[in-house]
Amino acid sequence: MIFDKVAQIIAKVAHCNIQDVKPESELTALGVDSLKAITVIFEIEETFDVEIPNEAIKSIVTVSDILDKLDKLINQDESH
Amino acid sequence: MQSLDNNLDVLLAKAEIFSPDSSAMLLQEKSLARYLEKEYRSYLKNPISLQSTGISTDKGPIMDQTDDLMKTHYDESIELFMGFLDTRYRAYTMAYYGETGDDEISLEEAQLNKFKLISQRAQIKGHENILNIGCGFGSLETYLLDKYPDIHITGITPSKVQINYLKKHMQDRSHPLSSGFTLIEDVFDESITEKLGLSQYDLVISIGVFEQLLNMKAMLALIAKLLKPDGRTFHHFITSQVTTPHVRLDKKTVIGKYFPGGRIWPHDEFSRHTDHLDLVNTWFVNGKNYLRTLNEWHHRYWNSVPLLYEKGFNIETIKYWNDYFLLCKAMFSPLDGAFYGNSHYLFTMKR
Repeated sequence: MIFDKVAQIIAKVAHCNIQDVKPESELTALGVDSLKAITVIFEIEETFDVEIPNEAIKSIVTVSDILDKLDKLINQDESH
Repeated sequence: MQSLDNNLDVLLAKAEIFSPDSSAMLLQEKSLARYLEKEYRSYLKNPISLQSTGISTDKGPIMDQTDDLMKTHYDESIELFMGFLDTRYRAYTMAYYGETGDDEISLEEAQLNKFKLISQRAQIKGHENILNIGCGFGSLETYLLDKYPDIHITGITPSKVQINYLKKHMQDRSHPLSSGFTLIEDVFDESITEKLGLSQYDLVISIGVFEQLLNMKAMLALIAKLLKPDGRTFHHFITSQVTTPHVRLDKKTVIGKYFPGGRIWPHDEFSRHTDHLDLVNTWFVNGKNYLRTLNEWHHRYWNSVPLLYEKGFNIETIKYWNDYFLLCKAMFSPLDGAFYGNSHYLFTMKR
């Protein structure tokens, strides 16, 4: 569910095929440059109602990295 | 908005070059602004000193990398600048839309208001001998010479594109630049006193130039040499509320690639340099004014893209400048324009 939504966002921002978006995919290989990465994070923040710190963006390389961070943020939110 | 011809439209879409009002561009602008807002909040929360960035304000040349800057930016084709600047003054600096940047006026009116504000703050009376460092397309000169027939203004620029424009208008008898204006085709450094003489000017002014200033102390010492004993100096340039780690605009930074060699100084820094001059006042002009100006420039630029393409701009260059407006807008918009804006400084000779 979370992966599907993230994949949709990446495909929309990078104008790539959604089938190419896999957890292990590197964002740059999907056409997500640094400017587009900021847009991807913005869309994720809007969709999941979370705030991803800028420092975290710098360490994101793969789709999995986004999913891990998102998972932590959502769980953190639920535990509060 | 003017529609682009079909072929160009396809090429732009393929290269992901979007109009300023497209949903893709608005999304990019909004997301970048949010990213930057988080950065600005962290700068405000954890202030750093200018010394910690390793940047000095009293060492080295007055300005640097002028050739690179001209080549990269100011000597781009005249059609580019004429396509997006206001039609009257051709002013390539922030226009003034009122204290909060919200006045419902045109770019042309807002540029006029900027010159009115500067004239008032620089205490221009109308009979002075003025030196304008970095005169651009003669926008301040056009405003002042139109208003004050007794004023004399000397403008300096090293830009070939600006010099050609100025020379053309100086020969046009109906244009304010045709009388009372002297053009100096040069860079502004210590050797300029040979051309300008000492103690000649009532007012030395700069608008949107000291983003290239490296050595504040040497600059103000040089200006003091050029001023008459009762002279004054006024400067307008982009500043930040507090020091950021990105004071130096090197080519690795998104804005630095457009302005190599530049600096964005914290607002308080310039006013500390009172070795040679006395500070009279400083002002911070809200960055929403620059956001509005850039937005208007962006739309005008977009409308001029078909002409630029016809004149030989390739798709890559069109994207380069389209991104420029996007990045600059995102830079000024966070925190309601309170973080990056323009500062004004007025100094007088020591008495």
